[in-house]
Amino acid sequence: MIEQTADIISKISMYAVIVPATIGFVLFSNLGKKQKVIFLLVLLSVFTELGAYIVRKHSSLQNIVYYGFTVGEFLLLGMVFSQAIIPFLSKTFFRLITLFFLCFVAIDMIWLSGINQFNNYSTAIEGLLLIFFSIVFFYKTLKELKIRNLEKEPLFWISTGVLLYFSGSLFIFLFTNYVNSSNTALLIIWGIHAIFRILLNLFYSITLWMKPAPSTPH
Amino acid sequence: MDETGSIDSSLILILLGVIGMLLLAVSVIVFFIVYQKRSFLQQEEIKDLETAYQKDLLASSIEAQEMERKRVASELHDGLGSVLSAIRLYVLHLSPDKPPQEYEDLLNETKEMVDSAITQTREISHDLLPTILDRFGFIQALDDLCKRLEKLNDMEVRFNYDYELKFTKQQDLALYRIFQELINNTLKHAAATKIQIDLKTVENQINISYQDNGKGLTEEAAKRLSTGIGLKSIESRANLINAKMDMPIDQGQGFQFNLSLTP
Repeated sequence: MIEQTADIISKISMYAVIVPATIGFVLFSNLGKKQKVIFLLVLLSVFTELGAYIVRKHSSLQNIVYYGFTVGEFLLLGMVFSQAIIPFLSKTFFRLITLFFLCFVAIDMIWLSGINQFNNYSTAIEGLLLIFFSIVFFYKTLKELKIRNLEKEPLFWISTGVLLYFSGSLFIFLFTNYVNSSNTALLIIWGIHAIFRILLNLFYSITLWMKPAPSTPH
Repeated sequence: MDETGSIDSSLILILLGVIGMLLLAVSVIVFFIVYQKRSFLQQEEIKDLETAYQKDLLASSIEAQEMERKRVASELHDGLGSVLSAIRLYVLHLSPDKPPQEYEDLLNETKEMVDSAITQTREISHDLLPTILDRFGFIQALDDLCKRLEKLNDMEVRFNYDYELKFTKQQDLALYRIFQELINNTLKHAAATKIQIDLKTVENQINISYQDNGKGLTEEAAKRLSTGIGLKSIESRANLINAKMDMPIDQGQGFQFNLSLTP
């Protein structure tokens, strides 16, 4: 029963990305700069799911696809956050963080997880960095008090989605390899991860759906 | 293997971690939303208070202006006006047909009244804008005011200042009016015998302190004063020249007023 439920949730999660992708296609001409980057990220998710499905019989190839997705996701979300957070955090800081992350992914790919395992460490580091960015965004927003209607600010939804998804999934990415794995346990873990992914796609959908309000001057 | 048996301790730990992190994330988001809304409410309240304060200042400034106009009107009407009316009457009576002595007396009295009219005009004009303020600036004008005050009233007035200081015309006028108002208050309400004014520069900042040895400012008096036009007028002028003012509550040493500004 648990296996079946987890399997269904995983499949829903796989197809959930279609929702923000469709919204992005339909509303493309009305999308703002940040929303366009998120649409690009959603398209990357779609192609990653497709790519992973195509090479599903070759686990190492599938893992390489996921490595690519992790890097792409970090770069795109980093771009969105950097637009909002610079100069609160300096451009150099963002460049250094990006450089550090790319080096770490390379190390993870070659030595830590390798290409025969899911890139747990890279995803965990990506999560930590993006959690940091979203918290900095919240802090900056509170400090400046320029955004009056949060619900009309795309970055609020992106940050909320990122914070919930990566906080929820962090332990999964970090410790799944240590589960004395029965198949059921792993299915439960990845089922929970799938729920978070559905939630993240829901937040991306809201981000793409909305018409952003101009910032309130201080 | 049944489903319960398959859930090992690592899985439970991961699940606890997931729940913990999720709760943390939700708390951050909820805190952020609540704090953001509250901050905006506070900001609006502050803005409303500021608007009300500015309106209050404006109203007081208009009221002070009206009072000043009434004062000038009354001085013109009751003082200068009546002297001019008397001059007119005397001039009408001036006739070569009068006996020479009476004519001479009438002419002398008319001359005296013309002199009095000239003096009154000068005083009114001086009250409105002292020539010395316009020509030599605030420090000289206040020094002159202090000296006149010492002559006219039984009061010791000390004004210590730095000759090097220069103010803009706007600062000159605002500062003069502020200290004129403070001196008026001391004369009217303080029953003081001594006034001390010190003007010092500290790191490109000018600090002016005013102190009398009168009744001083009790909390009750401060409340009353805060609604009065005099203080509003002082505040409004201080705001105009970006000066910071401070009136410590009396510690039994008379009234004290401090003002600091950048020249």
